[in-house]
Amino acid sequence: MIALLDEIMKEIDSANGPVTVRELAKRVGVEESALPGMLEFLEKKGRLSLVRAGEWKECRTMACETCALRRFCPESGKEGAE
Amino acid sequence: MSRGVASNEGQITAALSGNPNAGKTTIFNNLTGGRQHVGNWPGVTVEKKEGTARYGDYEFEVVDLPGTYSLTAYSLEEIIVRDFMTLDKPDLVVDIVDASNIERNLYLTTQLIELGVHVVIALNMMDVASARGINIDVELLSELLGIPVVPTIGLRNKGTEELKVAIVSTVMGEARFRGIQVNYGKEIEEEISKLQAVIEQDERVSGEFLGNYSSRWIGVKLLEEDEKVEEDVSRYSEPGSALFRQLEASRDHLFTIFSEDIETVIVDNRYGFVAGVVREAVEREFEEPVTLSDRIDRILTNRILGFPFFALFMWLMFFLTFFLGKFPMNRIDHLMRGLGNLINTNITSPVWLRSLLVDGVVGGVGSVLVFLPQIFIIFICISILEDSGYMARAAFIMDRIMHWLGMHGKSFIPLLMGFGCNVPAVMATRTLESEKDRMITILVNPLMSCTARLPVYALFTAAFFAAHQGTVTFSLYLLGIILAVSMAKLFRRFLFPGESEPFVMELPPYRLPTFKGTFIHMWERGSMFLRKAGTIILAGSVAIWILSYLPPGVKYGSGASLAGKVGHVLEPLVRPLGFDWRAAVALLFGFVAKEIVVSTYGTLLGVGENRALISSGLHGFFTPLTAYGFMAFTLIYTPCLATIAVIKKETGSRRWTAFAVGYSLALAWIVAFVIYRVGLLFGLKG
Repeated sequence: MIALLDEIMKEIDSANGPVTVRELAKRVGVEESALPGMLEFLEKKGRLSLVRAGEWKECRTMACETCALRRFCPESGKEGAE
Repeated sequence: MSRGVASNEGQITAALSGNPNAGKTTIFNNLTGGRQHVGNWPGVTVEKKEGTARYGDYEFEVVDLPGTYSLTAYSLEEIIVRDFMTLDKPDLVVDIVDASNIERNLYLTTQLIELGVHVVIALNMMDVASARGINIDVELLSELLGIPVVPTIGLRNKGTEELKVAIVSTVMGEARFRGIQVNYGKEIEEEISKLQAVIEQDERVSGEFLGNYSSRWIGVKLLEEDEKVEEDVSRYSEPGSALFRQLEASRDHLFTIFSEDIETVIVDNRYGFVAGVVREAVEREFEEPVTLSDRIDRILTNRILGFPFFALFMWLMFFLTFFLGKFPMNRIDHLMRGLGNLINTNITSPVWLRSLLVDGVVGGVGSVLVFLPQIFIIFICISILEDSGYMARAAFIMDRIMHWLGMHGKSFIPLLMGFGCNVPAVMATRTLESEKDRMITILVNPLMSCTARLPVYALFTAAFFAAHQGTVTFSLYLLGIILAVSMAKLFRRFLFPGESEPFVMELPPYRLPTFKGTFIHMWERGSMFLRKAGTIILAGSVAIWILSYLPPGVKYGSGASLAGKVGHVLEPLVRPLGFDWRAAVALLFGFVAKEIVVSTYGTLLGVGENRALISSGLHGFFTPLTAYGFMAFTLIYTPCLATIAVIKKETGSRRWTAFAVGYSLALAWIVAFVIYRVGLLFGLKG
């Protein structure tokens, strides 16, 4: 059995800086699309921090549908601020 | 070993499950044709699609389940799928697996098998996988997983008949079905067995509850600390029962062995199992091609080259802002001057009304409005940097510095957003999981130069650094970044000690920004600036006009006016920085919104909006040295009222809000003082 999550954490630690999902997938030898699921789990466990593509975007109306901050945004008509 | 499952007189219920975008809807349509109806899942607004399909004498009831990546109980979709599997008990689940992303998709498959339901894989998008050089040994995959695997191409309706055959033969017990289990290793397997035994011995749990689930699945879920399963089980078994005692003992035992939470170990095993299957059954003909994005990233995210490129792009942004902005700015300036002249010519009395309109409204609001082109251009630049995918890279390369400073790399995202407006940027700190990281990022965010400061820079750089406007403005933005990271380092050291977790980033591919997207962003932000000019800046200008005009009979905007008196009271505070009382008044009103600093000078000088006259007027109170110090003070000192309000909301603390206001004011004073004194030491005119 391959201890993948462990391997991922080791790779991240040894990178000595930020890593991209693409780079990490290559290093660990997993499919790039499979990695975010694993990283999300590790993030839930507080082991790392994952920034999804698009999360850095400044808020604006046209990006609302995909914006990671949508549920917090007072300008988003549906859910509004907390 | 094959075994049949209950079917009701040729009637089969098949549920379609799979990851989002695996082609589930297409397969559903292929199976059911037009025979389908749409409703909602009970109690929620998630769409439920059902239809019927026929094969030979068999009629299938096909239920399309929401797309999910796993069967944990974190999202509504996952709970719907889990409940349907366990409570409605379909005869079989068709798991739609995207062959081109097989490793990600098989994670759900292992969980479905573990649940104890009968699974048939529809290995969809085989054409896409093939085009990417992914060869899947379907027979071996089926053998490794112990379930039937049918290759399909949903969009071309290929494999649908074979899928129907597999459904029927699995239900009839004619197809391969072993439903292998993930082996979690000796220690965990032993605890699962112990739990299974207690679950099966517990009369209420096994009698009333277990009918819907497999005891192994419950055992695994209890070890994983699945809250929903634990809650369900506790309805049938008391907290002090043998089952819960065993659960506690198993968890304690496993924790002493693995020294980390069991869910991580279990999930790791699942991922490891999937990776093992993929390595066996999938072969890649060629390495993923190096894309254009990869090639550009080799330079732009390079450890050494990344920083100069970042600086270059920032400098270019300010150069373009001022270089291109001056042409339309002169037009607006001309218009405003015409408006002032028109009022002067047509409204001769009362004198106060003329002064209010010319000096207060046109002078105040107009002096800010002339910078509208720069605001539009800078937002075009920000939008292009974001939409092209570069801004994400900027955050990525900055992480090296952020981490070195003890700050979270992710913090740079809200900081970058602060270049636009600090209000959404402070709100964006909610993406930071650590409260300490969040507090640090909130406190330093106002040091990032938002576009409200741009009119101040534009006015002063035009007056004192006309040949190097872009470079001087760039230096102020850089000063903001340097101060933000330095303060973050101090806050981390003294106020919020701790470590930040490592940072992984999903970089979007580079894209050509669209005209529509860029225009909408520019217009949205630009119109916000216009609204602000018509409300807060107008109100601020009128207030300053009143203070400059009263008491009646004094010279407008002189030291004898109310504004002058307020300014003289505050002057001792700013005198060591080389500023006079007018600067004190401008900075006081800048508390409301930074643009009002500009409108204050427009109003106080009593020269209408005339930029040339404002500029020469400023030369009476500032030198290039003190002008730079004044811009630095404006950059750093107390954030605007809207930002203060959002800091209060986000921190939920008056104390931290007061701290944010207080420290930035003190820092602004110190920095402006240092600039002034160091400049004097170098012989610059104070």
